[in-house]
Amino acid sequence: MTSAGGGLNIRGLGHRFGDKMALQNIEWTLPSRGVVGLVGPNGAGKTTLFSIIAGFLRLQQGEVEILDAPRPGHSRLVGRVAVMPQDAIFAHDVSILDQLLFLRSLDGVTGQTARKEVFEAMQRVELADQLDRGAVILSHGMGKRLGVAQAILGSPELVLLDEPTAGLDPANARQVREIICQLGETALVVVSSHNLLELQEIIDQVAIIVEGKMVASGTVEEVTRRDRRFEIRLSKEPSVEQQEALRGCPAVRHLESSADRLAVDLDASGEGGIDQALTELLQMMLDQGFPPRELREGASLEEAYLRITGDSEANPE
Amino acid sequence: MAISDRPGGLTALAVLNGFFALVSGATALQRLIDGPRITAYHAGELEGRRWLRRRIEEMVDSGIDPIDLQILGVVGLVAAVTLAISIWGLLTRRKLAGRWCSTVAAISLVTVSILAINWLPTTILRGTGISIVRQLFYPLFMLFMVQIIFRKDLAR
Amino acid sequence: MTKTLKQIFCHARNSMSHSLRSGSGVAFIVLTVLAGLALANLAFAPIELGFVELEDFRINAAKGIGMALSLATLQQGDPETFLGRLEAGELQEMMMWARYLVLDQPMLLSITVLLLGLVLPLLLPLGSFATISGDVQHRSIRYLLPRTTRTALLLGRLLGCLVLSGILITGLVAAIILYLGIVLSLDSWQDLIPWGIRCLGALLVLSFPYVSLGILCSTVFRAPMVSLLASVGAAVAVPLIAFSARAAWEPLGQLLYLLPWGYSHQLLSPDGETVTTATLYCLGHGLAFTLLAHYRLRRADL
Repeated sequence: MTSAGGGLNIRGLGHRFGDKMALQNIEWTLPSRGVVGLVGPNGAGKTTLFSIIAGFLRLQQGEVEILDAPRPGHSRLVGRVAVMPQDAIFAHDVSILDQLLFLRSLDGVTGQTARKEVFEAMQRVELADQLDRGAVILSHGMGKRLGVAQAILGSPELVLLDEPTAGLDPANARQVREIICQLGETALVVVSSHNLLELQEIIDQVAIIVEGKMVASGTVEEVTRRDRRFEIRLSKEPSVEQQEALRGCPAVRHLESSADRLAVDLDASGEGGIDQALTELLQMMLDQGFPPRELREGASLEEAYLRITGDSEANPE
Repeated sequence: MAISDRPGGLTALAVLNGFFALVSGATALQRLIDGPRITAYHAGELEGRRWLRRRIEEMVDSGIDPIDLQILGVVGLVAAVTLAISIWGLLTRRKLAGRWCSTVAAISLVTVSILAINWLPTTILRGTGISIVRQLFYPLFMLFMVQIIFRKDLAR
Repeated sequence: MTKTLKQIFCHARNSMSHSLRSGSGVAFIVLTVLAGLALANLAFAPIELGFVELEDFRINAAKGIGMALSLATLQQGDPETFLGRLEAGELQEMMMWARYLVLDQPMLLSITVLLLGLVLPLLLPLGSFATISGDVQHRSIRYLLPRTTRTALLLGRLLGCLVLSGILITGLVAAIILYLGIVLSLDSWQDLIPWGIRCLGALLVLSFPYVSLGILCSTVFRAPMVSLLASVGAAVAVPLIAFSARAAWEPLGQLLYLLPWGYSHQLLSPDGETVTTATLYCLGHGLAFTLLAHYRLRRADL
């Protein structure tokens, strides 16, 4: 995927704040449509990466191609990129309505059309009754929803949402997730969040960033090793002999045990593929006398994240 | 201090109204006090220090009518009181106490200035004509701000 | 190009409406008008209140303006011998210039405009100091950047500040001319209007570099208060430092030209070529500040 076909193409991106490297050698390519998650611990560099893509920070090192533009902040991108920054606040002294109308006027939309669009966007985030107020009186959650509303104005091709559901109650968070899913049908939406459980529901791809380095990226299945990992719940913790017996099964590549749960990586390269490998595993468990109570395909994103970030911290290089 | 989405311009107007309330109030009170003094002077009953007598004499010599001075004082006081009320009205964004009190105050200030041009002699008492233009600027500016710029904000 | 132009006008309109709604904008408008009218009052009061005779006032005003022009052109020399040199006819050019302003043109208008030319440089940055830094401080600029280029943002807000300042200056000059024509009637309309238009042009041209200076400080400093101090401070400090440093070493007086202080008086010169040169210098100065601000904004991390 190249920028000529739309989307995002980052090569060798680095950024430094003083003597601290905030981002190191980031390589990332995204398609022109879909929802992508960006996750990482606090201070990992997610907001810095967003800020560079959005054109807020100057590109110091590397290349960032966005849609058909060679660099962030290029005039070709005006009106095609929408951003919900994490820590920005709306201007004082002016009502929310006037500010949103002004943002639309920059896109060349004025009058009743602009008013209608602004009203609809605010209705989608259930803030239409706050249009005549100033943004300063909004609660944290309402401020987030306002940020989402301004990001969905117009028809952006790239939408960057920095923690859009942080601080929202479940109902509003679900609404925002629905908006994100709808946006992802026509645009590339990049979402950062600490709530991996909810992120997993809506994203097609994910990237994990730790200490300025992108340690994993790809589809959710690739990152969580869904195609060969199974999680099994038993009635009780298996004995050491039972675990050794399972490890001896040719289909089992890797096994981890924790109380009454097993996480098993299967070798799907055999003739029957993953089905054959799973059949062998289950047969062995039945033969050994500890049938599974629950079988779940793939690790959750949260588990993959903890595994990957744990590995990254243990092996910094 | 509670968070408010009141525009900074409204706060600035409230502060300026406070300043002009003090100025116009002081001037109005002075005129209200000087009116009876001039009447007392005419009746030969003025009491007070020499500087006060000299001041009243100057005013009498320049042909000031005490009734005119009283009227100016009353209108000036109306301006001062409505300006004072409008401070609260602007800060809390009220229609009556903010927008309409400011409007009444502006009209009163303009009235005082125009009456002063016609009734008071061209001395320091009235000031130069351009100082009257200066006096006319703020009420007209305030009228513009509360009736046009902040019309939607002062709607409660 | 058309879209960029439209965005520039959008930003200009937004900047003006925002100025009217913000505390600093209201303060700027009120201060500028009241200060301008107060200066006019200062110029008119001696005549209007009958403290001095008109002819005496003209003579003294000519001398005073001659002194000021000599100071502004760094020809004052030793203050103790200045008056002697003046009377001996040494500073002929300055006196001719002063007489032109006072005798050939409406005197009170000339004096008022000269005073405005001294005070406006301190007031104009009040209208532009928070143009960029206010949004940078609160990061509200991040909502704008995806929808507009930094160039359009800067030029639009500069245009908005210039238009607002221009409206205030025009209103001031118009009020003064109307007052002089209707109330004082010392000069005819045939004298007042052309000279008034020329004075208005001079003040409008003079406003460009100082508004640009405010915008430049606004892009350099992220805190509005610091940018206000920097812009007003620069406007005050440059002449002070120039005149002080000149006492130590004559050429240091040229520091006056860091800002239009060094040549702004030439905007009212009797010589057309001098006026044109001063106008071009003013526009050049303003353009230099604008280009610096643009360079700074384009490279800034916002």
